[in-house]
Amino acid sequence: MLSEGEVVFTPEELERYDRQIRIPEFGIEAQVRLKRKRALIIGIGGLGSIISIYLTRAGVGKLLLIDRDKVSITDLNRQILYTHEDVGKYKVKVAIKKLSEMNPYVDVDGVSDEVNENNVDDYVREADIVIDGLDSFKTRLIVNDSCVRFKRPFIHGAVNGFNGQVMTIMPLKGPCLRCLIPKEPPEEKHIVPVIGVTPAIIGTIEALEAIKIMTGLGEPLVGYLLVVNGLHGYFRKFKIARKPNCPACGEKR
Amino acid sequence: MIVNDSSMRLYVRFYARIKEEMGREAVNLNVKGNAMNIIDLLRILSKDKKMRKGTLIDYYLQGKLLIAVNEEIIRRNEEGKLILKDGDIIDIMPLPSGG
Repeated sequence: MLSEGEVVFTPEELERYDRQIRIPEFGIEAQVRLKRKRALIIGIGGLGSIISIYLTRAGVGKLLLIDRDKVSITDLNRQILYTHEDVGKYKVKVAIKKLSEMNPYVDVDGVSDEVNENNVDDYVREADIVIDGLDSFKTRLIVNDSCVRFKRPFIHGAVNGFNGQVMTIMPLKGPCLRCLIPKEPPEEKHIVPVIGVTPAIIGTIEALEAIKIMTGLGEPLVGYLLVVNGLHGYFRKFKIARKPNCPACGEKR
Repeated sequence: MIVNDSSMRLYVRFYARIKEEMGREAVNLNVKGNAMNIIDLLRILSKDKKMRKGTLIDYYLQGKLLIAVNEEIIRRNEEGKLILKDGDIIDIMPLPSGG
């Protein structure tokens, strides 16, 4: 047993993480920090499937998943946590089972719920970091505002077709989602078209950002919007300034 | 005698769905005058090309676009304050919402 503070690893667990512990910048220190963290993923669809799989395999301490939906056959081109047999089952239930099988050392829990103004604080307060697997800006902004209130890091991601974007929010240290989008655009009337590789790319970057924040490694995408165009093969980083009159994180909030 | 024949060159790039709808990747604009902001630019581009569902300016006012000038995202409601200058590169992107 190796123990550092309250964190204890079994020999098997250390073996499981051997290849990442060998990364010079990572080491056992980052593994310990990861195990101390509780990550909240809101929405376990295309993005959330990828984020939850990589955080589970990386060895985050506790993972909480929220999603109200059941698996539909139209989800299966991209939501890689689910298979044909899962159609009709609650996503959260399937996800807990599969992720726990992937890594029994992670405490995976979930709630079949819809996040709204009334319950968001209860979920965000308990988390060390919040990661966006959502499909609506209305809910994203509700989550953003709660993350600002509780000063929780929030990783934003969104996709459409072959395109997507990622932004890492460190409340009051950099711009928040409302500095970028002050109020929600009209609800998308049409089904958002998407191919599985797009949420895979964006979700993986979100998971990477979450790992960086939880371990304190590298430079997270704070103050930047990373825009990915899959069809034309480019990643472009745009600067975003903090908005002094932002309704969420501005001076007069 | 002061001759005001100032004109500026702007380079505008279109992304994803906007590119498909505009039918091109980028456009080089030569604009007369020197006090133009993003909204003015969108009006000019909207005259140039009708999109499938309204114009670029409609899209922008509905909150469906992100716009960057020289790789910095322009804050919403502050588009009027930023006066474009010769040589600026403007990126016009759709806002993805899916998950």
